[in-house]
Amino acid sequence: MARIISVHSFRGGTGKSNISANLAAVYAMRGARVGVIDTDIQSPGIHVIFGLGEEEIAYSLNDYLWGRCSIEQTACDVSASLEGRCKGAVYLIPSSVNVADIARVLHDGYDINLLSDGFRALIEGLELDVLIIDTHPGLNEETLLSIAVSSALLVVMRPDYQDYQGTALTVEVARELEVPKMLLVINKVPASFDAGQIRSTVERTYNCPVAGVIMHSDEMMTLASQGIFVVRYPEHPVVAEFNRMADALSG
Amino acid sequence: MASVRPRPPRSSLRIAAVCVAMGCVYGIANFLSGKYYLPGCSFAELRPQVALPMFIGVLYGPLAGFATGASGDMLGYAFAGKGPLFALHWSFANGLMGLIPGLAGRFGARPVDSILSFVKLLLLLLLASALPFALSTGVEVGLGRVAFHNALFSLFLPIFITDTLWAFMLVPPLMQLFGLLIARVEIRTIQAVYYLLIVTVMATWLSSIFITMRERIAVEELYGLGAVTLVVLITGLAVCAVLSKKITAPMLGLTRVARRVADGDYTHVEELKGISSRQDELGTMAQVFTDMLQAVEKREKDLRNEVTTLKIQIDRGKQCADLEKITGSDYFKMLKAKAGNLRQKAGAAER
Repeated sequence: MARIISVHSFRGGTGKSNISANLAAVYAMRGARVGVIDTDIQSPGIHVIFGLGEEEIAYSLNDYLWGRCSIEQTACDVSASLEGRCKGAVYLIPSSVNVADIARVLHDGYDINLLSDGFRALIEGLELDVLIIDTHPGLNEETLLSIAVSSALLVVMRPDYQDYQGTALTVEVARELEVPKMLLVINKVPASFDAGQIRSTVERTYNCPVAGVIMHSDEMMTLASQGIFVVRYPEHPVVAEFNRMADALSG
Repeated sequence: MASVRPRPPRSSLRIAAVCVAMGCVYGIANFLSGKYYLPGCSFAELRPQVALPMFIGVLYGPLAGFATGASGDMLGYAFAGKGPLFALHWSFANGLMGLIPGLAGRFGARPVDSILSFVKLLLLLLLASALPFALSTGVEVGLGRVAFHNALFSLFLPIFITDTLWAFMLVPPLMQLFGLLIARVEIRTIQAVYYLLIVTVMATWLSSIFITMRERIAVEELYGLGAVTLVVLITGLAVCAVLSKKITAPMLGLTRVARRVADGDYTHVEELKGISSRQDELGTMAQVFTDMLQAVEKREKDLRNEVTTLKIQIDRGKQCADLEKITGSDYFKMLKAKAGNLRQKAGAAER
């Protein structure tokens, strides 16, 4: 069963891309064919986590949106970044890191209907089991579209006052769009917090189940997005949390 | 200085070479001191070289100490033309003199880093100056070569008293040179008094020897006096050790508690009560330290209580207004109408 999972946060810097990459790795290590699409066209970054160099990107999502290529042509096989532990496959559809391309998107925009067509074409063309959409923060039109087509939405937040109000708005908007499954994940939780207390407070406040509480870890900070955490630290307690999140999203 | 500290060789071949070389030095020194000792007194007074086998023992262990002492003694006889096997029991005793300090590592006296380990080292040096020569003197008496009275006053006591003084004076500085005596505050507090005592006793002892030579005082009186001086020295050192301990023990207590606090354990702060009841500066320091720790613990506890409870505040009025803005747009209405359809399309793609 192919699923479209949007990973979203109202504010930037919540660890959205890292969570997308790790979820993709968990699914691929279980044998799934996974696509990850970076729709954060204005500030792309997930290619770094998969170790994809700028020079290796022949076509980006921007090229597809401007009609220069097909969506399948933008997909880069990044299964090797799982360091031999990939039983399925991971494809990354990166956004352009070219400054001129980013400026053009900001200035001209694009036909966002192409995005939903692209999602479908990707699932068909690459025979995907899971498509993970790494969204742009905020609630702009392409993010709303991503949420609207998703079968599951994962909303990432931090225990930070900057995130509370925006998360509440995102949850309500997603409810309006009748997303079949919506889960919260609380990231970058300082060690002094109690995970259980956080989980229950957040679930009560947003009236939405929490799929995972990811405690702050020095290992993750040290990795600094230069690799996929679940691949580098398979024994770390956080890995179990990612596995639970993957179960909750696909169940 | 740490940067110019000589580094002792490590491999057994090198250690053997050092033992042979030091044995030669010890042998030559024995030959010289045997040839030119002060008239009217025992040959034993001017033998600072006894510190050498003892130090080699501390540095490389009992076997090396024994080899240096025994071979050096035999070489001394050889240089004097008597043949190396001239007095095997004395050579054996000299070997033991190097062997006993070699046990320092086993009894916690190597390296010397506290008053306790310093006292242990001195006890080993005292034993190394007494036991081997009690044995060799005993052999002389047993063989009937010398009467007991003479053996005690002309052989054992001169050797025991002066060897102890030389060892006490020379072995600790040699160890410090080789980094085996660590200059902690504990050691520093005892060191100054220690050398003052040794030098005073040494001066008293040597001047009594000269007085004995001039005034022709009986040798029994000289060595009786020597034994008393040694007892005074050892008592002085013991008192010095106890007094130093009284100064440094509170500092060690403070350090121990501070280390536990660094690990987040405040349960040992109570241990400082004994120290803070002192009337001196250390008591004041312990009191200030205790007050500081209590304040830090309270602050830490307050901070922990503050952060561990997550509070989320949401302005529901603002949320409704924002939601209205988004859901009220034409695009959103269109999207909402199409959402089901879009999802179905994606669903159709699902395999």
